[in-house]
Amino acid sequence: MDNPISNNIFAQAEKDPGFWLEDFRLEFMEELAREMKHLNISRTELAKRIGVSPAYITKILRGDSNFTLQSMVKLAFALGSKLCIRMEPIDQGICEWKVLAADVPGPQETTLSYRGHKIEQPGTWGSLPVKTRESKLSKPLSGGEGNEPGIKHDLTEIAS
Amino acid sequence: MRVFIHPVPPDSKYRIFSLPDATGEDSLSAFFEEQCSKNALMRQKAYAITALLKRLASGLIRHDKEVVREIKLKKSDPGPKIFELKRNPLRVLFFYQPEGLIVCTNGCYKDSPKTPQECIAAAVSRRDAYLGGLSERSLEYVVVEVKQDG
Repeated sequence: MDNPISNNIFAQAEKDPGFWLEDFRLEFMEELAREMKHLNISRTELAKRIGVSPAYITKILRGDSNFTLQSMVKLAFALGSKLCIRMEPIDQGICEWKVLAADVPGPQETTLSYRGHKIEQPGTWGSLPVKTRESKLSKPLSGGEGNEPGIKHDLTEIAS
Repeated sequence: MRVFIHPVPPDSKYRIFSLPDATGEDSLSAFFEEQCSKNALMRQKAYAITALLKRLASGLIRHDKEVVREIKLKKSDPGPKIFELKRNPLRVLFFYQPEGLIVCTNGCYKDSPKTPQECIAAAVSRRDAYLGGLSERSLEYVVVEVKQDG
């Protein structure tokens, strides 16, 4: 199996505050959409409440708008909510995977480095800032939508 | 065919795979790097679509036409549905696979209301190649490395 050659786009993006700006924008727009659905409030109704056009609400829900703190508070208030801000450490947990090619005799493994730290012993995390979790792939993946029944992804996760 | 695995946070609901482009390289990384290299605005848009993809993996994104839209394919198309992740003017096309897999086929820059047909055609052809490789057991999985600084 080839060595990893490409770049992890998530790890690269997370190094830049611009990524976290977008992440925050997404969080706000998802929260807004969820609350609108929960309260059964349409875009037109919300637009009316804060005195803007429905197109503006659509723009916000699409993530295309550069909203200010003032407009965020206004939108939340119009839904009977207040805006809460909290800071939390950036989650640095990225999983390590062991990949087994299906038809290669004897398992061939590719082990992931985590942000430049080579993980020497598969299955151990050492001091790496990685969370562990129950493996969702303790059994091979089987067929489903778009697959022939019985075809398996031979992919096994190290983390358990 | 190589399938590229983009590691995601451990608590993610889905895992992200991406398929090779015409040169055999990881289409997702190539798309991301291409947009980032254009200018500051496109870099920001690339971050936006990456953040969206990460949230899609977490299962925290609503599936509606503003964010995730199903691509209309021919009725005779037998494969899994293809969706596009939207963040103007960028798109990432993908399809779901069983057991929590999101397989990204390609990304595209879109400057008209409709997603370019060639982008959709590439997505369908890569999806079919992936499914073919799956049935022939000829897929080779490559974990996408994290580049070291400097």
